[in-house]
Amino acid sequence: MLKVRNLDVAYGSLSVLHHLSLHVKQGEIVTIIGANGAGKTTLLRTITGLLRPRSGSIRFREEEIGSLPTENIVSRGCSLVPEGRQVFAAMPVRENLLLGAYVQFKRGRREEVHRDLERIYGLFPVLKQREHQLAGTLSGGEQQMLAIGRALMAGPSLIMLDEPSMGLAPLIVKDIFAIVRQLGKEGGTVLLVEQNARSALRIADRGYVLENGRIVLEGAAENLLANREIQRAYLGKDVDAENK
Amino acid sequence: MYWQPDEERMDRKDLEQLQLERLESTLNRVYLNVPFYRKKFDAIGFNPDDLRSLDDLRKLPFTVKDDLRANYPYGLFAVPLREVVRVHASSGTTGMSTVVGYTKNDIKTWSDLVARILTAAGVTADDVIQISFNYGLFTGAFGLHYGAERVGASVIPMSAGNTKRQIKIMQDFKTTALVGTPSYAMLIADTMMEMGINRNSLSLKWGLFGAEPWSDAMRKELQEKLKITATDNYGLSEIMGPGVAGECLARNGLHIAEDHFLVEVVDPRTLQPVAPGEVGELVITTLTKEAFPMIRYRTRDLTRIIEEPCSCGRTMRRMVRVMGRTDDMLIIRGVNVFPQQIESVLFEIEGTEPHYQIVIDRKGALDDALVLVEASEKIFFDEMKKQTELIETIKKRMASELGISVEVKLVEKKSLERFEGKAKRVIDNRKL
Amino acid sequence: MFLELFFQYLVAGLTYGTIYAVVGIGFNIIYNTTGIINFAQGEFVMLGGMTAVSLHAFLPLPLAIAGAVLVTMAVGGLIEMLFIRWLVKPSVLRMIIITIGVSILIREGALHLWGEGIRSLPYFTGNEVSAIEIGGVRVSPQVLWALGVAAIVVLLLNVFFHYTMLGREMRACASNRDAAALCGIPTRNMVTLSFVVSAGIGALAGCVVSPITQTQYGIGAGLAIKGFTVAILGGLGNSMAAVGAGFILGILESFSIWVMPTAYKDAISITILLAMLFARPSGLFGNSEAARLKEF
Repeated sequence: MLKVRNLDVAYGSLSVLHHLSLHVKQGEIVTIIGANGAGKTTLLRTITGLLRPRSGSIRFREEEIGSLPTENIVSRGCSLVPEGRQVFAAMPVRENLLLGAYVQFKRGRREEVHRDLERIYGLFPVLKQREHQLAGTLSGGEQQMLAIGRALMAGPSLIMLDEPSMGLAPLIVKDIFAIVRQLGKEGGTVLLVEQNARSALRIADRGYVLENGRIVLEGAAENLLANREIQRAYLGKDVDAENK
Repeated sequence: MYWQPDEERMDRKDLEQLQLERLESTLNRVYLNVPFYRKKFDAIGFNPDDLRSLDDLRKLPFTVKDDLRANYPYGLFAVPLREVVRVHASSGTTGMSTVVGYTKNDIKTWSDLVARILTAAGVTADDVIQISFNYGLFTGAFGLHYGAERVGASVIPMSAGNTKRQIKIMQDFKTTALVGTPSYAMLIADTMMEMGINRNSLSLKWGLFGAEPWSDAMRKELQEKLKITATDNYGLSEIMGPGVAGECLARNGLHIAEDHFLVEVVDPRTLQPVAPGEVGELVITTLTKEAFPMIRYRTRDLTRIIEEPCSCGRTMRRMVRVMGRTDDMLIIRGVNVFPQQIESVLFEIEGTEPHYQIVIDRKGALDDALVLVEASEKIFFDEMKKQTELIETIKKRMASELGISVEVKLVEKKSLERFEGKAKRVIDNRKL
Repeated sequence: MFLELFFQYLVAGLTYGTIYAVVGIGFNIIYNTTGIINFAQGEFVMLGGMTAVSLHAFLPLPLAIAGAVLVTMAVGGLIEMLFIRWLVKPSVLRMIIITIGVSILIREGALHLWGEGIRSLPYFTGNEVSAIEIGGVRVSPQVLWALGVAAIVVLLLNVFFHYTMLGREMRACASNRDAAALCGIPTRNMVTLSFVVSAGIGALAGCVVSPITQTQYGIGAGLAIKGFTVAILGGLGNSMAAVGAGFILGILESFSIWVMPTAYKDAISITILLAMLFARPSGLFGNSEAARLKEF
């Protein structure tokens, strides 16, 4: 569904991503793990058109989207839950969600939107409870759910999440990952960028390891989990101590 | 029957994407972790970031066996030794042996790739597999063993040697698949005949042979004598071991695991890629090896790639059976000849047994090639005329098909040395 | 007599305050949606008035005003598309220079088109001497028109931004442009729309006060500064406060005549502006929290 080839992205003269290639097939959960500053957020922002690549190709459903504006990319079915939630703080929860359905409204799918709204409330009951509360007053975890719900309201075929666990308490993180796994189970296609490598690899089918803007390793998620270098570098395991 | 249908029948566009991703990540890893490659890349001014397409691969330098020998034992490992769960080495007939390593994931991949070729060759979990490769540092035995276990078959780790015992085990244990070298299989077949054992007392159905080149004629003979479906498979320890490529039941070329290995065919003299479908030296780049990645390894094996799709439905391209080694190549009076070619000519001629030897001398200015070939017993009791005719036929065929003029001598059956491992067919007495 | 004078000044202050408030609101709308401070805002007021005068030559007054508003809205949209759209994360300086440049362009264009002459629309009802008695004070009906129109504009804007989908989309764009884009909202069009709306309300204000204040090609610059002052005074981005701030400025200016020469009237606004920028940039009614939310 998504094919990235030889993507080069730079901020001014500073090269951030180097000849990066990856792909996401329909129905997969793919995760990209890597340390801070490895370039993960840059990658997602480039795919959605918030940044322009210097060279390389991004193909979404066989169509080249590298030079399209963000709104066109979203209307083609590629949604992003951005880093740091980024909800519309001064608007209530319900309006945030309805704004997320902009592309659906444009397609004249009013009824679907309201059905989707109920579905999102079903996925995140707390959002229904706080339906009329201003989004800025929600807790971090609730805002994250709102951000995910907002992205889902667009009815995307591919949903990308940028560090959904960042800054959240461990219990909430569990919930968030359970929801991502649920999305995958329902047949959705997910690209998950995460610093919390362990949780991400546990729910993903495949993974890529990003280091300094380059992919250094890819493979089935269980293989990456078993890879001891990954364990040491990203899972924080003291592998030697465990084996004594 | 496919072991990994999604991979084996992958759309080629998806395959290209996967190859590009894996090549890029391999180059990134290799540049970081293997000083040998980093130096080599720096020397030619190549940075992995410069790779834009699969074609850019040809900008990269080759790796040859001597590089592995020079970095004996662990110099080319891309991971720390504590990550390596298996070490193998090649037999090293000339010079030091070469050492290779595997991480846990490498072993997993290896098992799956061998499982692929076993399945392609007809083997299932219901089969009983007898592995007659020597268990030890050599990758053949363990490679097929783990792959067979992965498929779920019953594995008999027989190892090589003790031919009579091999046959007894085949009978008693009801072996359905034999794995080994084709020449050893032939030895088993001949020994069986000598011992007067009826083929029908065996349960053999499949034969997976490799580790040395063998001709179609030899396949036919093995299939007839042992009443099996015999397939070729290909591998080399520097790349992984068995499982790099293997025939499907169509037996018309070996499917290469292109999602794990990037193959090129180059002219052994100019080192440039040949036109698609042409014969040349096989060069392999590993895409997923963690412990021991190889970039453009020159295998010294001669083959060509079949671009057309196979009837079995696999989208992975095939290579034809290895025709010989570029370093086996003989130059007899200026003509490039491979022992393989001599073998295939001989087998087509009636009255010969599939055992031969080539002795090359240079007594004056020119090369003299003498082909010793075992002839069936009958002919020695026949008239002199028949023997002469046979010799003339052989000489004529050699000349017309290979462009070389040779002397031919008929020898008695079993007078030539037999080999349990790779057969040694060439005796080159020239001091070149 | 003193009381009567007081109320005259008060009414004058309120009248001028209305324009200032509307210009200030125009600033806020564009600033909120785009982060750009549009110094050409004052020209919209001028264009509205001047165009209405020209159209009135052959159209009845309501149509002339409507036409002028539409034309100015089109100009606003054009400005955005020609000069602003291709700006990628402009620096503050660049943006100021560009918008000032645009305002100069418009002013010169107006000069060529209409000359130096002072024009004005006729009083909507009555004439320059008609007056309405309110609580003992004589107020020109036009003042009531001005206040009424301003009130309606503010009300409509409120309804627009809070109760229509398009208005919510613009608020989303102002709140977080990237997040809005990720909802599929065409943010570039929202930007154009913000210019169009600002131009429209500016033009409307220009029309409605034209009979009282007169319109001339050059009134834009002064209005821009005063409108900017008002926006800052109320807290940049806060339109409700801009209304209050507008009235405050208008009244201060008006009463200043009591204590200093008329010529210094304009200095009042600049003084206030400088004082605010130094002492309390978030404005009288603003606070940094509200400024962050960038709510209309």
